Amino acid sequence: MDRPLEPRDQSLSTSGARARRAVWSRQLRLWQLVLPATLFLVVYFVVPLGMLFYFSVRAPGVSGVTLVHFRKLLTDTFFLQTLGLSVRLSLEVTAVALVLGFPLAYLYTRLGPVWRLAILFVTLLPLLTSAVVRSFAWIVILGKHGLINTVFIGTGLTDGPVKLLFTLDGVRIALAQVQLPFMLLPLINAMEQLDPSLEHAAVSLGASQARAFFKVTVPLSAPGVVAGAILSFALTISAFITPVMVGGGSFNVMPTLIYQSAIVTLDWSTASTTALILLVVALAVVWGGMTLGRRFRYGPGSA
Amino acid sequence: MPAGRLGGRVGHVTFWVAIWTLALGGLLYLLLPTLIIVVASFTAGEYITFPPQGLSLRWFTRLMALAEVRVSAWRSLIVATAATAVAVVLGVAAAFPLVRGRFAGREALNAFLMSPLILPSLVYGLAALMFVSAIGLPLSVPVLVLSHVAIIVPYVIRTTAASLALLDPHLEEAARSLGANAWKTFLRVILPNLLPGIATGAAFAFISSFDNLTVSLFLAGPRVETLPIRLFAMINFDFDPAAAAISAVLVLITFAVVLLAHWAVGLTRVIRL
Amino acid sequence: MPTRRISRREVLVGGTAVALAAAVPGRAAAQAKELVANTYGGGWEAGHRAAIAQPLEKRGIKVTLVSMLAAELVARTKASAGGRPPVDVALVDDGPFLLAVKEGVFQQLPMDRIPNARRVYAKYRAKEPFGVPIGASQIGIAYNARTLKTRPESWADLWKPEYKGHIGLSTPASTLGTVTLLSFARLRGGHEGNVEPGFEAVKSLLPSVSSIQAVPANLRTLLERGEINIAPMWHHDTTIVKMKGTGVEFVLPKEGGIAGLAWLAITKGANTDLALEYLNQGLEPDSQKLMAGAPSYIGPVIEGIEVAPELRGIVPATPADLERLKTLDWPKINEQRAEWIARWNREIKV
Repeated sequence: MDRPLEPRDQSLSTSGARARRAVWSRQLRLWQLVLPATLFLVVYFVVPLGMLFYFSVRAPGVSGVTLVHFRKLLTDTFFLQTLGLSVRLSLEVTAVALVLGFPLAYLYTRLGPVWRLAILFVTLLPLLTSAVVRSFAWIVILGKHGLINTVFIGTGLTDGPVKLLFTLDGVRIALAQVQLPFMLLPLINAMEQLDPSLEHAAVSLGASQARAFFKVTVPLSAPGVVAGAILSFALTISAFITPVMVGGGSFNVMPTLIYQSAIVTLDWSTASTTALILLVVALAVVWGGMTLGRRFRYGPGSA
Repeated sequence: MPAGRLGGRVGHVTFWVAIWTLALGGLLYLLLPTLIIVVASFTAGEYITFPPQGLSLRWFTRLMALAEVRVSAWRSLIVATAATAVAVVLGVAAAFPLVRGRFAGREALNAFLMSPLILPSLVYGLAALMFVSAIGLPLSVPVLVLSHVAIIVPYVIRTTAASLALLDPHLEEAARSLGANAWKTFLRVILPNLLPGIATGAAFAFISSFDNLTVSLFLAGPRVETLPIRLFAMINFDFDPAAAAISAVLVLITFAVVLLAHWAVGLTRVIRL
Repeated sequence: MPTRRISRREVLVGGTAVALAAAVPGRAAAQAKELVANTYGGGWEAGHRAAIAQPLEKRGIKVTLVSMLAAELVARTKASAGGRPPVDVALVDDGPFLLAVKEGVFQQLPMDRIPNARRVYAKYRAKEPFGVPIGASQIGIAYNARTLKTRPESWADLWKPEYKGHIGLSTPASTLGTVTLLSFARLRGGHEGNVEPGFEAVKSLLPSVSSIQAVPANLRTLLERGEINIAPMWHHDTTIVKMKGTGVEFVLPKEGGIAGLAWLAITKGANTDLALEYLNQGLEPDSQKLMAGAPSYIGPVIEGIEVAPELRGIVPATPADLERLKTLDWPKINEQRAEWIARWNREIKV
């Protein structure tokens, strides 16, 4: 049980040319199932973005295609720092959501229906208030005279108010809260699909509960972790309202830079170049996460 | 060995204390902001405060008088339902080849299908409006629904794919070898196992569409105001406490839906037995 | 049954009336008159509904008000080039207005068809005929009189030690923040062509600043909660906060306020005839008076509008008020605004 799960065996256990042909024809049909979503997104997502991204290779006074906007942004330290901050912030938020979400999901699978219902309901709550309304709650919680500071000062933990609102920490807290549902539900699904007797077996064979948890449950829930992490990462890196409302104007992330150029100054060349760079970098991270996660797919050879 | 066993028991207790502490902390964390908004919505004062200045239902009364809130909420419900239905069909279908298929560029396609979530939605809103205007499509509810589909389909794909990755392929093989045809295998064996994943994706998709402001801000026609747009108008220049009351009502409705879903699922289990 | 007969007769009479109305050409067209305009939501929406939409509806023009901020509206209008514009009449403030004119999304106005435009204060008139001002705001200092004992009198008072830790600012990504930056620049001898002293002033103020906001609406929530107690703000926003009984007061600094104008413009592809009526209605004295009161508190742009006694000196209305009000060179600002925003992003951190 200690060894990591093997990647799924590439050849199916069936043998013979006929079986292989059957598998091959099933693959062909499978392949076609991805077409509707892909075609839809090509027409309704890629083509529109192509129209916008056209601005990123055009400049006034230049005929034809130019990379001047890319060169300008990619040699700008402030831009690169902001890009780095966005990626780091999204990874951190995803990690916080994972650390808090995993125990909750684990407990969910071991509790009765009333608890489960309560957890499910509470999980949906953050998604029910619009980000702008929610920012009011964060002002109440994180503010100078907010709940956290009242508790901290009241218990003598700190002398004066801790600055949380309009700091990067405040944004981390607010973002991780709203990402938690996107982490939690895929985790619950993954753990529900696991066979609880696996962990019991490990414990009865002498492993401690913690060891069984880390060596059996954690690796086997990997597909849920990957799904939750990808959703949470993608949603954090594109989040605009929470960084603006809870972060104030003290720092920038990629979406606020995009807003400034796309909406405030109507500089669509800079806006679309920024968006394209963000997309490529974030997709690379997502792709990396997926490749990592694929190593843990259900593998009959490893059971 | 008694010392070791005692150590094991201490470890056991420590483990569960850690799990419970993190889990309860997580629950409080999820709950707190909404709780504050709901409590604040009962304020008797003129503006939104916490703790509220006296308790009253005045902002709920005001909410009921705001006809445009009702109209826009109803419209958002229709848009989100339609968009979710389309996204589930497209997303579930796409998840199968993305997990089971073996074709060139599958990983790239997998990542590509996540891009609507990665791009700040204002970028997509702008782009989609340029596209729709260029091909001369008038802004209408169907156009709005399709643009929502584009940004919510990744949720369904991702959660379904995660469930599918955990599904034991032997299950299907067993069903097939017992003589079930492809459809029967899908309906009786695969689908029930994927249902939680699909339902999760659908819930995320629905809520994201229902809550979407940016794309709607660009693609809603003048007489197609959605609830987030109305909320924005209520908060943007003056934080109307009725906006907090809307959140409280949504919380109540969701509570009812969760209970109902639980009851319905319980019922189907009873019937199946 | 008698009741049934009466109702049938009513239907007949009604039907005839409708048929007659349809036969008269002007009336029939009036039924289909429809116009879309944006407002900013909140008090602006209520003000525009009462002062412009309702009088027009009495004349048979149906007005749909959509809620959209100026910058978003201009971006949306630019993106829908080739299709229908999002609104017929656009409500935009100075910066976005000029940006939109430059992008060529607004029509040139036949001023002779907006008779009320003659009433507009000369100081407020557009240099090029692409819009009419509909309301004036002035930026001054909002402060909470309950928590702060000293009333600020001048922009320079912000640097006083008693305000340390109480100050809120806006980034130049908002009109409010851009105007704040310029008012600081002017304080230290700068102007639209030289904003350097403004940045220096902001930097020297930073130790006193509690928070910097990209969204001006946040400043109001923060004032209401006492997270900040003093901030440069628009007079109408401050008045809305004050009227809720929060203890927040508006001070016009002794250097005078700086004006920000809200403009009405007509998009290309709009229903021009109806849109012109909307613009003209907005400049009617009755409409201007309505918008100058609760809940919008927007300064009138024509002479002769009386504001309520408690709003005198706060809502700029009289020629004397205008005398003290400074206007900004927005074309020059727009040329450099992207640069200022970028510079602020890099240099100003709390």
